[in-house]
Amino acid sequence: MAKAEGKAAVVPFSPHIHSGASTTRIMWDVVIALMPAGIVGVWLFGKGALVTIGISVGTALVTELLANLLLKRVPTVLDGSAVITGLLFAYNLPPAAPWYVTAAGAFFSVAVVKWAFGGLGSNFMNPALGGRIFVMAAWPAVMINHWSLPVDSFAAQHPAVVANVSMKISMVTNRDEIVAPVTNYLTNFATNFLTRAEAAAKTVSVDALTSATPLTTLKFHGWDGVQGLGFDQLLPRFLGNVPGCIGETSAAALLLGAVYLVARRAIKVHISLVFIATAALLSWVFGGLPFHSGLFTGHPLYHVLSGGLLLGAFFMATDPVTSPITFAGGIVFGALMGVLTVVIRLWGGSPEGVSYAIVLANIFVPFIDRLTRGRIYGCKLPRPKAEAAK
Amino acid sequence: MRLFSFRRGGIHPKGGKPAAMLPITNAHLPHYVIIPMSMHVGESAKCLVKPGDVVREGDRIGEAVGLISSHVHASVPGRVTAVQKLDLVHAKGVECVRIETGGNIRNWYAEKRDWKKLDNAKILEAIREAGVVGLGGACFPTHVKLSPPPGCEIKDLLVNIAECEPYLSADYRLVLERPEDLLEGVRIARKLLGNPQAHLCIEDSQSDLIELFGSLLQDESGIVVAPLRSVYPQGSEKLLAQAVLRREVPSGKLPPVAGFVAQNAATLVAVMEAVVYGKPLIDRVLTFSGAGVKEPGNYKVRIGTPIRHLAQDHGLPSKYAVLVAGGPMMGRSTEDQDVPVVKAMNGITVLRKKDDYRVKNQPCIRCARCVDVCPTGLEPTTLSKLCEAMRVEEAVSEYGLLNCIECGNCAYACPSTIPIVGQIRWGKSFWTRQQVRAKSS
Repeated sequence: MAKAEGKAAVVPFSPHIHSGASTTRIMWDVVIALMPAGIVGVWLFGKGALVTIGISVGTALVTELLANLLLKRVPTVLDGSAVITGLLFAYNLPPAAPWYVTAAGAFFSVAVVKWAFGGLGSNFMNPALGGRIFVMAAWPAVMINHWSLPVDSFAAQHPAVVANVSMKISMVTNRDEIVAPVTNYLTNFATNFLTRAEAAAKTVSVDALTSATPLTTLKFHGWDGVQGLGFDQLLPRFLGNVPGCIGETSAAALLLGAVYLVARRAIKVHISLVFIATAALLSWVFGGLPFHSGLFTGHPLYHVLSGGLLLGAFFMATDPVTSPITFAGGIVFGALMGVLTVVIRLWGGSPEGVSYAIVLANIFVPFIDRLTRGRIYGCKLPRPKAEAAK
Repeated sequence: MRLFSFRRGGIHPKGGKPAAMLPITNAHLPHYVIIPMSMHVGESAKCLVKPGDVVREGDRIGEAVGLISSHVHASVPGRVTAVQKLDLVHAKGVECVRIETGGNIRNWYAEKRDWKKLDNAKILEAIREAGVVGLGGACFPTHVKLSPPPGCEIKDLLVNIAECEPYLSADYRLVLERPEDLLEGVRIARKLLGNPQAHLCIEDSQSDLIELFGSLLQDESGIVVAPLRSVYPQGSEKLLAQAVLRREVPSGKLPPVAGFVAQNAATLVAVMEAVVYGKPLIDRVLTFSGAGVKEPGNYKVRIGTPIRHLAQDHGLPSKYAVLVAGGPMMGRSTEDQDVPVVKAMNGITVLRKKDDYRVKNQPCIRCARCVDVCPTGLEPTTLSKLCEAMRVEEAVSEYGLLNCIECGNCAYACPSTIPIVGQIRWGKSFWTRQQVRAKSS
């Protein structure tokens, strides 16, 4: 047969059209979704947070590049996955983490958890969490002691500076409208933020800024240590104004990112929802037990808004590589993480359980996938019938 | 209106039906045709002519060999100039007859036969004489399909008008323009199969067809309209059964085991023409369309017409990317414009370079979109990895490799553009070769 005129780039087999979906685009969507939490983290915790994020992402990118060169792979530095690992790892650190801790952990996440196992698609646990656990084991003091106070508590200790800044602000915003509590709160928040900025310019010592996180308070001082659970106390936890890791404190920012991801259909969101629901349910049922107040006396909202639950549920549990591929498997996975989180938080040695819960569940994923295989057309079971071979 | 659909997965591929509004026109008679001796499932036909022979339109030039085989006819009058082995789109090294066109065209519609007076054996013989095969793409000899094995009770006949691939509108136009001919074909098929319930499977995007048949069938019992949700691959025979009949074909078996037979609409029209007018299968309707074609169309084309002949009438762009015989999801690509139109070719889809599916070599990130869209309930990502690791045995026995219908949903949805269907096909052929080797040793 004669060759046709007109050069054609032949695709040898069907299908010949494609949806246009792209792995790179999914990765960068996740990066975009992580931006609000990072911005709020820097806003709350200041320059230290920005430096930590920068070191983490930078180290991750450099490590990725080194791995590409050493393993002679097609460069994957710009596919977004190293940036995600860098950001997520940083979001799991306290704002004032020493630079060597950040760098070592980011390097570990990318080089060991990801590349030693084969690169993108082959890691068996979440790289950022692998890095966090490594750091927790190698420098335990850092993760326990270096929590920074967000702006509110600082302001409470420096009233003179507050008054000064507050006057400047009230000249701009002076409204008494419907959402008064929130408006007042935000005004105070702005005041305090600027106060802190002013104070930072006068170089106040770091020690004055540290405090315990909400979950640490709960574990070691019980519900009495936690001052109240009304709207006024929960709102700061929702907006992020509590001590904690850089990216995990602001539920509002995280939810914003999560909504974006769901709209872009970038994550397996059923996993997140089951995780959160299970953790909430179990913390309600069993939350009072360590304090001897009986069943059904826990405070689910407090637990959901504290610690890395939202960050973990929406951004780390849904990492496609380390989560199940079946829908039913995702439900089982989410429930497992919910159970593990609550068990560790209530009865384990550590106040925070999400990182361990996610990593332990990651390890179970191949097993979960096998257990939850769907039914194949024409068969009664997930496997095809034995005589199908023709 | 209640819509039927298959249970799992499905996609809405891009493309639309740009030719849906265009009535069928007869393509100009080509100067020559190339007629393959094998355009059907089963044994190749035995060539009956040699170079120099003069043939009339409709003469038998290839004789069916055995039960599962089909006659082949000259689609134009003229002189045989060559009999040689050629590489076609669907197979290589096929014996083909080249005929230079010349002579008188016949009028096939002059005499009508009353098929109701014939017994089933005679009707089947007429279908076999005419070389009718499945025109939906599979090309199974129709006279065999419409005579189910004894012991299989056929309760349902699925008339497949669900043209689910993008760009294709040949069946739609044929049925819209000749509904009575289709119905007559359905009645003939019903008689042959023992009067099963017939379902006209029509997608809801073709609501005019649904309404048309709604009114035509008011006084007819035994034939009903089954409206379907428009989603790909609704037209797959096995999935139609799950959607309309709520029954599944058991893994590894054929539809009669599940008590039904499915036939493409164009096949039934060809059956009608064979039985009522004695017309052999020498032409078919196809859609010439695609993102690379400015003026698409639906054409009644003689079997054996070189694609080039149609392309010339259309101003095919000189820099097209892919010429696909069939629809873009399951068709086969070709660079060669000299290949002929065969009985299976329901469309020619021309895609531009930018529609070209480029494999990027990114790794699988287990996003599971392939699992979500697979209508058969398989895990394409697992099958892909097993085939790549040559663990085909495991793929067949544990993960259902052989159950894959190769619809292409997985590869369409994959963000890493992994050529999953290609890997599965490789796995299947590897398995077949292993089985053949095992049997012969």
